[in-house]
Amino acid sequence: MSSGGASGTGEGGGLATYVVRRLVNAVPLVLGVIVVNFVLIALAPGDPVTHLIGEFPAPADYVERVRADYGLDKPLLERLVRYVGNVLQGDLGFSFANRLPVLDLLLQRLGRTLMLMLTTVVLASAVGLTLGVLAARRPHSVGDRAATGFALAGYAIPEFWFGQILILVFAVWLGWFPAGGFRSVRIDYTGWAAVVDYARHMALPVAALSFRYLAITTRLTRASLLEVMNTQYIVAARARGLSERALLWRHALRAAALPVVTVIGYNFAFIVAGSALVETVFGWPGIGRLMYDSIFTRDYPVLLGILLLVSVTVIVVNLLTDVAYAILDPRIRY
Amino acid sequence: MRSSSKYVLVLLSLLLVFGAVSAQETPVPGGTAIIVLGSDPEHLNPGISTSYPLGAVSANVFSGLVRQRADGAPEGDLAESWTVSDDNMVYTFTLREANFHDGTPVTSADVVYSMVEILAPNHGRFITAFNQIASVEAPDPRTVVITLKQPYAPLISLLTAFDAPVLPKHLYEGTDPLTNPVNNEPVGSGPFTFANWVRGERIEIVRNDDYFLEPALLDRIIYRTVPQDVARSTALEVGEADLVWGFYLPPADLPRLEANPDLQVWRGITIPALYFVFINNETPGLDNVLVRQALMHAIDREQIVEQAQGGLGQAGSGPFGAGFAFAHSDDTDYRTLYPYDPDRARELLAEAGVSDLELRFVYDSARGAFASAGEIMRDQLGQVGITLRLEPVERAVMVERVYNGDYDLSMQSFTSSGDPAIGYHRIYLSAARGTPFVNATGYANPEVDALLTEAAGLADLEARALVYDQALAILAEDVPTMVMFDELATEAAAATLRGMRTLLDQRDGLEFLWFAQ
Amino acid sequence: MAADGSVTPDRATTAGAASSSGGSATAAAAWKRFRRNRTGAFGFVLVVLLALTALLAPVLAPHDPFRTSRNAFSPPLATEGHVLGTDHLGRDVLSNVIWGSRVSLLVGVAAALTATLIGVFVGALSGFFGGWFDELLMRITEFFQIIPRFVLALIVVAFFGSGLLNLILVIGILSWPQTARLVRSQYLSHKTLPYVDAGKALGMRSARLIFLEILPNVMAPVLVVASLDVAQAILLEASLGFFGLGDPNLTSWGGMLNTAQSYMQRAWWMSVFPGICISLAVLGFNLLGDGLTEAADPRMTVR
Repeated sequence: MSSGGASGTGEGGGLATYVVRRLVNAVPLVLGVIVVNFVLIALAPGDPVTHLIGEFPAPADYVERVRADYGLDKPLLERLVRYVGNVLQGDLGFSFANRLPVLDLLLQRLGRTLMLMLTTVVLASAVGLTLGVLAARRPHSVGDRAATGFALAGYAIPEFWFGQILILVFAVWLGWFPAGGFRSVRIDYTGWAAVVDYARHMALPVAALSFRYLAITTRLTRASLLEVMNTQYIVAARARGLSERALLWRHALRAAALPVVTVIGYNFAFIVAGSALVETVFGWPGIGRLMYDSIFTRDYPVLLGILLLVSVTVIVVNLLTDVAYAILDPRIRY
Repeated sequence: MRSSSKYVLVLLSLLLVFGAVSAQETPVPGGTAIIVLGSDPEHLNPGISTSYPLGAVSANVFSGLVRQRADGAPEGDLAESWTVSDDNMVYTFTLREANFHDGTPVTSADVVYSMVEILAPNHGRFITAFNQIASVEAPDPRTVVITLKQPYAPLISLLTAFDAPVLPKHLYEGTDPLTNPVNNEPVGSGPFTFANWVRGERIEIVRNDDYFLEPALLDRIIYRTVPQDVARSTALEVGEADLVWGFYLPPADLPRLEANPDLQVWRGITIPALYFVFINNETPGLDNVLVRQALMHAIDREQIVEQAQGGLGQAGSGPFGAGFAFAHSDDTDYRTLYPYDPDRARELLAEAGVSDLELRFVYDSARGAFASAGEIMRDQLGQVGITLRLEPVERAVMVERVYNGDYDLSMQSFTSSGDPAIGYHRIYLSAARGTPFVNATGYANPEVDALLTEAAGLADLEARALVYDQALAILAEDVPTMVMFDELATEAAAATLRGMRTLLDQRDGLEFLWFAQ
Repeated sequence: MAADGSVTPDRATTAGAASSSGGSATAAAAWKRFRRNRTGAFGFVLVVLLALTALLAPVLAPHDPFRTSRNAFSPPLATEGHVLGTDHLGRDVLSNVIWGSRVSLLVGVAAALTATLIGVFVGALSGFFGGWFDELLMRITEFFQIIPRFVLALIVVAFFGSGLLNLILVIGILSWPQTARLVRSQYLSHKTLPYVDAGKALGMRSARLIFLEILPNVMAPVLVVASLDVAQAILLEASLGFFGLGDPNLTSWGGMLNTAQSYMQRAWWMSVFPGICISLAVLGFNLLGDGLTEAADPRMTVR
């Protein structure tokens, strides 16, 4: 997808055409993910029915119905077609551990995960951008080294371990934040108090989740800015007497924003992985936690459904990034 | 005069004190209690499955014919009274006047329908009772008659809301009980009515003011799902929960909770539960009784209790543990017969001519205590020259492997409700391989079979004890299964909570909970 | 590709470009730059320490990591002979940390090796021949970058089992696209160079050109990616272990963190030390990769 942005040049159409073109490009990717699901089911040891139903005990007539629906006694190609067809109609199977159709189950949990993810992206991007700018302004200064060190730590430290440490320090030892969960159960807050309650419960998970993302963003902003600052374009502007500040904010940042935006977008997949781990540590009832629970109960249809859902989410985010890229880059005329 | 006025003064002050004390002991109605569950139940129909969180909610939303007090003694729940025929074969129950939560009266037809149509085909534990039942009849709307095939002492303890809940026939008739949507919005006749269920987060039940017995004291109970075990203790400490049962408490946290003045912690035995390790008697090497005895000497069960179970156990004191006095004997106490003695273990192995044994330890991957026990066993068996390979598998796979003989050692835990015949006999009775939760060791001793069957039919505890003594002697010698320990129950709650453990099962009788001020 | 494998303007690619342009990339000069480069050197030291620990585990570990005792939850330094304390079964934390390095290093290196081998092979063919083959491979690469690796790895391990070999294969197979893209762009730029034309004129077969002529010139950026891959693989293995999908018959850092989760309040040392080790190992390989990048071409210095 890294070639996506630059290929946005086109003669006739407008932004709409570009978006449509990217959407069309995304379709085979989605189909590809569904096929991957199918391949996993087909290759896994044991009865494929087990991988369509999960290992939770299911009634015998349901098992037979699944065998028929998915044509498990038919040749491979027909099975593939049936499987893709079923999925595209929205049938992701039934979760016996949760007693809900998989699709419903996922949609229920998705909102809570999105709460974490979106807050993380916004916060980490904003803070990362700021730190990167501050670091780039005075290369090799103490502030710069600190920011760089901070970024290095963010790459290396596993976010689930970081979450454990955050709990130890801020929830157990200092008692400033709740040690887990989604909201207070005893008191049903409404209105503004509810927002505050959610915010308190989100604080530590978001901190754990955003550390790595922040590191990436800081590092990249800094690198990108430094590169831009040395280009002739900026040197010329400086020669024209533009103040350092105007240079930074008006010109350099806009040019640097481009790769940064692409990074934020294309690295969304890492937040997805991170959220699975962080939700487990904090007991946050979202998709990630569901993944962890489903491993225990070997609830395969849920796991496959999650794979499909997060892949589609990543594709959507990539698409949005492509669009943002196209808008931001003055060299691209659509 | 003086002495008598002094006497009056003492009397008055005694009255005052007594008054104050009894004022504090008077239950105060009202309030909401938050109880922690470790996971969501799959649904809320206790007639078709028996998971722990399911029972926690359903025992208070539904009623059984009887319920069991904390000492195990049964008393009437939906049944006002019952009589037993002289030959111990016919039980006649007289029902109270009661309504389901939707206003429909509860009749004997509901009882019969629940037992025959819903429980018998689906409920794992009720089936053991149902196999002993010849017929269940409802001669009139207020009477239920159960006729047995032969005397069966544990019957009464299997008629509680956990094992024989009374479900509303008018809502289930004509539907498939496994998929009926009522399963997620239960309608029972118990002290609480179902209010709300936010999946993965909380279940709410509220007081039933039309309950046929004394109404509950609390207004509302919220069951909060906290998947992370350490978060449950934290929830108690920060006041976000009022009660956590031992089943959900990490034992490592108990010392800290006990030291907390805002909390109270209880330990004791409620329903006996036994932790043991099946030995596959058909594995080469393990078919030798000397080797099995060596295993018993090689493993320090006290350490397993302390570290894998957090001290909440009594290291296995006999083939049936120590939970039932009449099924235990000092002569066959494992602590004296098989003390921790690695040297003796090596001797026995040498005597048996067995060396370099490699064993597979299969267990349910979701049970952390089993994993820790397995790691301790790996170390200690290694010390006597036996290699142990840990094989955690998900529960369904574990059931299939163990009950089809594809294992060498496997750790399990069974509860036995109110009677050893319910849960423990099947550990030793010979049975066809392949039936889950029955003897998986391959041990088949007709003498033991006969003794245990005899014991199950006897109502007189002393007579039973004599029969058990004979069985114990044989089993302690053969050691077909390694009994590890009896589980000790525990519970942590807010210091102001009262009324817990009024009934035998910790999850039962939540209508007796109240908050002291 | 940045230190954690994220997609960025290809520093390694441009480093590779520098190497192909000849100029500042003679091996000796590169090595000299590398030695002077402080972060790279630090990373190298960390990696060497990790390797030594893993190799010498039987010698270094003061106790048998599986040996339990009644002395559980002993804090660091509280009991003699247990510098980092004991865990919930009375086992020595230090010994388990030392032995855990074996799994992390083995899985990390083997998985990165797998990814590199596949990636070089695919990227070389794709870059050299172009055409429909190239298009197809690029689509596959794009595809692999969409799917969140952790989720896929989780499912594969859940389906196929969590033995060591499975882990290595899964992580390796999920990591090759980055290497492939890098190698491909290298081959794209190299195949128009004079020495390749000369080879063709001499009648060299494609296989020889690809693997014997061009490949050695391309190894520098490949090494960079490989070391970053190892860092990634170690993290991924630790994450899977944290989810309980490790091998229970081996000690691993991720597995230790999984157990530590239940005892965090009572024994912080069960969580802190394995976590530090994972961080240091990942940091080491990341810095090594950074150092190699800068050694290849100092113009790409981000400092």
